[in-house]
Amino acid sequence: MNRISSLAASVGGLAGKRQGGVSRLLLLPASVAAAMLVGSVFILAVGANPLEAYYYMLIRPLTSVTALGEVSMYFTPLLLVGIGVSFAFHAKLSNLGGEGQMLFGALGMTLMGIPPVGGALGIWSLPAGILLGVALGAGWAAIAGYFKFKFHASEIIITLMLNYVARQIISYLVFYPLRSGAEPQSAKLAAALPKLWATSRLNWGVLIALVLTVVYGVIVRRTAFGYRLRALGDSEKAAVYGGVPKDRYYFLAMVLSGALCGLAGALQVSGNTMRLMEGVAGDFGFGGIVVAMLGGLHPLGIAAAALFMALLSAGSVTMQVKTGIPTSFTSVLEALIVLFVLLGMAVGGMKLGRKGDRS
Amino acid sequence: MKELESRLLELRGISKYFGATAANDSIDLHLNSGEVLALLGENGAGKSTLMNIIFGMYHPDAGRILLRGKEVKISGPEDAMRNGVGMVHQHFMLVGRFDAVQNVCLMDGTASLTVWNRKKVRAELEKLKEQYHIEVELDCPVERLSISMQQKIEILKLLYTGAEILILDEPTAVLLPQECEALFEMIREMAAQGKGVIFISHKLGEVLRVSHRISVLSHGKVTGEVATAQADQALILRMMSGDDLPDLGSYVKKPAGERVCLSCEQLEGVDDRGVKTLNGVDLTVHCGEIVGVAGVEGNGQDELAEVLAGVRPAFSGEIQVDGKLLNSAKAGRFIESGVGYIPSDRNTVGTVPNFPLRENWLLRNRNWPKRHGLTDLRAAAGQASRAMEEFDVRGADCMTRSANLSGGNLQKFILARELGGAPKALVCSYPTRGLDMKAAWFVRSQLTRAKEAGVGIVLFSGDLDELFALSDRIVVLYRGRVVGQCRPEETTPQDIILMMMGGQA
Amino acid sequence: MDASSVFNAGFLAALFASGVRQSVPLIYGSVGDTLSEKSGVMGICIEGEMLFGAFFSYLFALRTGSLWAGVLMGAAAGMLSSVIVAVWSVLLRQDQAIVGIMFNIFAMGFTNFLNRLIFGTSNANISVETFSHIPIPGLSRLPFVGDVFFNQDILTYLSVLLAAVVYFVLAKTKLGLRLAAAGENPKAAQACGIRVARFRFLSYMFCGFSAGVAGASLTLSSVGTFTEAISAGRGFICLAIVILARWNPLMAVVAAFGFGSIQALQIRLQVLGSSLPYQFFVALPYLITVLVLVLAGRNIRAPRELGIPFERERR
Repeated sequence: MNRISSLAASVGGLAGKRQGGVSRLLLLPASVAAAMLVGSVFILAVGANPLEAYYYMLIRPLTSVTALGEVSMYFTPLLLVGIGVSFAFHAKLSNLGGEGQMLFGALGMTLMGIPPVGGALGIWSLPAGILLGVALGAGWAAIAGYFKFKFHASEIIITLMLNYVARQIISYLVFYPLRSGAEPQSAKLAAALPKLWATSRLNWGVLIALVLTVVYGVIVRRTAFGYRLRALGDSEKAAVYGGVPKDRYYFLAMVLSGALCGLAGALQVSGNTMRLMEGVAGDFGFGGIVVAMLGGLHPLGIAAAALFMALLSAGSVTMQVKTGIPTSFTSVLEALIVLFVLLGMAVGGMKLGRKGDRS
Repeated sequence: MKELESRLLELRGISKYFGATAANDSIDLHLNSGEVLALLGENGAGKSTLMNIIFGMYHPDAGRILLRGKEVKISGPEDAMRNGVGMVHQHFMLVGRFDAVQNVCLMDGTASLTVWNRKKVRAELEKLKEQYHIEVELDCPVERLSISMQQKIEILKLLYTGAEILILDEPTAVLLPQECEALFEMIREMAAQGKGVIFISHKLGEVLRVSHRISVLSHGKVTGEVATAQADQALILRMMSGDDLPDLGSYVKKPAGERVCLSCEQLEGVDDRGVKTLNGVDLTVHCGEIVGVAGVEGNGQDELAEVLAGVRPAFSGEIQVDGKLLNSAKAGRFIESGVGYIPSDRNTVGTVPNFPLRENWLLRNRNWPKRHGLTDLRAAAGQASRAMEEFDVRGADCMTRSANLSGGNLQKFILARELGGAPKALVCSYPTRGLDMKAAWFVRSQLTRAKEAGVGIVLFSGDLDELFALSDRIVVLYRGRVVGQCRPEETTPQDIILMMMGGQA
Repeated sequence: MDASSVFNAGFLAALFASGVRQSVPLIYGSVGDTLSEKSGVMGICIEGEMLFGAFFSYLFALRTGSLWAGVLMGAAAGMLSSVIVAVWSVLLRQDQAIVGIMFNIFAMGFTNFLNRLIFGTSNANISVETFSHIPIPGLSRLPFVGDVFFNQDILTYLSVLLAAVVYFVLAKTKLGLRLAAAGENPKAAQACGIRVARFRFLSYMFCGFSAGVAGASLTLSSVGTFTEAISAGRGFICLAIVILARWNPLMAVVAAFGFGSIQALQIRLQVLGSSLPYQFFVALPYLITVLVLVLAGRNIRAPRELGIPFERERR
């Protein structure tokens, strides 16, 4: 214990002298490499070739537009949820409710896209659905935000619990009122997100997500609002001293976070599944947290991490077919990477996420 | 030989660094049994760090510790206690929700899976209470007890463990004079029983009264040691500061203006625990006036400063800034109205620790530098750099994280920022606490310069000399109320102290 | 089928008996979490530890043919896996929520991975014999109550015993006092000679042990096989139970029984094809938790430094 902390202190001292910049930059690739190394053990256990497996996961999906389209199906929601939860992380709020917020976003898009509304609106059901989805996602997150600042209830537990509630609400809706046909799912949407390429699933969602990532970066770094969020996250007392109405900002951070997750849900329905169904949000709620952590809350980092994770997910299916490694290997790899990043941050004396500095 | 046998504790060459600053720089110290050793020094001199090293809370970077002539390695408080070292910390180490018996019970090193016997522990405490004449409530959660009661429980904890080396870290800072007297009596009693006591303080008078020997610490070094019997005030002061003190009284005050710039009426408010600590405070500050606020710690100073700066809500009463009524706890409005605030906690309140200085410069900024509607960080950096040069902030540029600044430089930076916004009024909470002499003087001179420029200043300070030297008027806060005010030239520190205790001048 | 014929005594007895069975993993999980939360660390990771416990208990029960070997290995797997969480959040002082979530993702991937690896895609049919019910002499003859509470398997009885032991330890022993001090005011605890980090580390491991047994009870008490994501959010319900029970293990048993019964009801409604949407009952435990968090007096009993990393030499 002592040895570890003194080691951490001495390495931290070194990193501090370099302002943390260089070491932070190296952290992500180093963690990825370490995780892939450990992952190789798993691959070898299956009797497969690690290099081949990583080829199918990371390189193959980049080789054709069609495959890229598949990657984008993961990339868009991961990126949006990633920047969404990052807003909350900046204020040291842990929004673990991305899944629920996505589900409500998906619901918003569905309500606008299916008959009777969808038929009447035609192509206009897309913007209308996006708006409603964003609003519903934000609203679902607002519940946790409200409870947080009104009752000081832990947003960690509340957002987690609300995921399950949201799942059941969606399940109820697709089983009963919105059901269309034999399967528990809604009717097909009237309009789909326009494609960017005829032979690929690449659609406008990618562009929307990328633009918003830039906007996210600008808001966080270059506006008073972002400044105040970050101040609140680093030292609540200092932020209050600086004139930040903290309750309002906690609430806003949560709502903004939910709005982006809601958007992810809306785009997921209109660009991918075309119907509302159970599990439409996939694992993107927690996946977005991984992305935010890996990306160090930096817009470029988040985009890179989202791409990396999307490759893993999209490539894992091919990998399973070709090498026999189960797709669940990707979650092992993801978790390992984040654990290595956290390890690196601890040794480098850096911190991310919530910190309990009450003294 | 006899002296060596009675030697309880010896420190040789102890050093401890926090980052680049040496909190302790190769310190030698010893303690004999039956002796009260006073450790004297200013805030930040390294006293608490040294004691925490003896108690195992910190690990020294260099040096040796000898207990009863044998070298020991103290890897944690549990080791220290096993070796008969006990400590009452400046900030008490009590579990608030536990009562005294439970807190004491935590101290014994017996096996974890034993059932604890409340009756037995309680009976032993009763015995100790009697032996040392300690009056204290044993069955009530300690967070509901007064500070002095809590201190007594801390002392009971030590006595219960049978510690032979007792460290008391600034035990009088929170006590009233009559309570201090009782504490001294206890200390004498403990020394008479053959225990060794290390008594930390920065108050000369009490040190002269209670100790046998005095060691002076300054900037992490022992700068002098003297038997109390041979000590005199001037000698010790010289040891403490390293050279003769500049004369605080030499500053000639310029008379205050007529216009009221900050005032409050019947302010009532609570602290973080919900205890009502402001019971109707009235205060008026004129332009170009420094109003000093004196009081024993914990009489509502912290809350008053925060309410006046708009950071803490007051549940009744009103605050006017430059004739304008302001809602409490809207810090943003206070900033816009020109109220500057120098909080007592520089590190996590006055600045955002992980922000670079150019971003910390923007905290409380009234004219946010913008370009094309976005924050202009280059302009912010320019402003910050200029101000840092003017205020002599050293060892940092505007990209340095504020957490990496030393106390003095950080305080100068905060001062530069608050005065740079051309405030009408300035609330200063313990602005020189823990600063070295030079930095403290710099801060004081900046405050007087601001006053002469017409800023109305409320100065909270625990240093009476500072209050007398700078203030145009001193008000005394006692139990959340202003109990008296006077002009420094018409009064004496003794009168103020009397009022601080709740007596009438 | 009308309501009166459904809700007769026989139905209710079966319902509550199933409720008790459903509550067993919840009891193990929440008792473990109670202890760790007392010392100041949150068991977000229980969900993943349950998966570890469930998979390894099934694996070993199947391979050795002994249910007890299964339970033991499940507990050991839960405990060993908790070391990961403990190292990251106690020693490296990283955020407990994030480490916990990452650990859960890891556990999910890891157990699925091993499951595919060892059993391929068709393990649905390989099941082990589950623990048999042990009627308690005398008590099991009691009308209604006997069927519900005293005709259960050994893991059920042990879960209540564990809760009682933990209650005793927390309330009466020095260990309990020290754990509470570590969660209330770690700095003060440290000054009293308590090794806060060690206590927190070990209580994480106890929590892992307990969650491992919870996982074992999922596979070895009723289903007899491991399916992917078998824990299905129970770990998070445990967190809710701890709050609802106000950090009292005995109350946790009661709360777990309540949640278990709701779950049993939900399953029955689904089977019966009732017109009541079963989703409401699935969501109910989570809704109750949110309400409890909001209404139950702002968590006055929560350990004060819960979830906050402790740094030894913090100034």
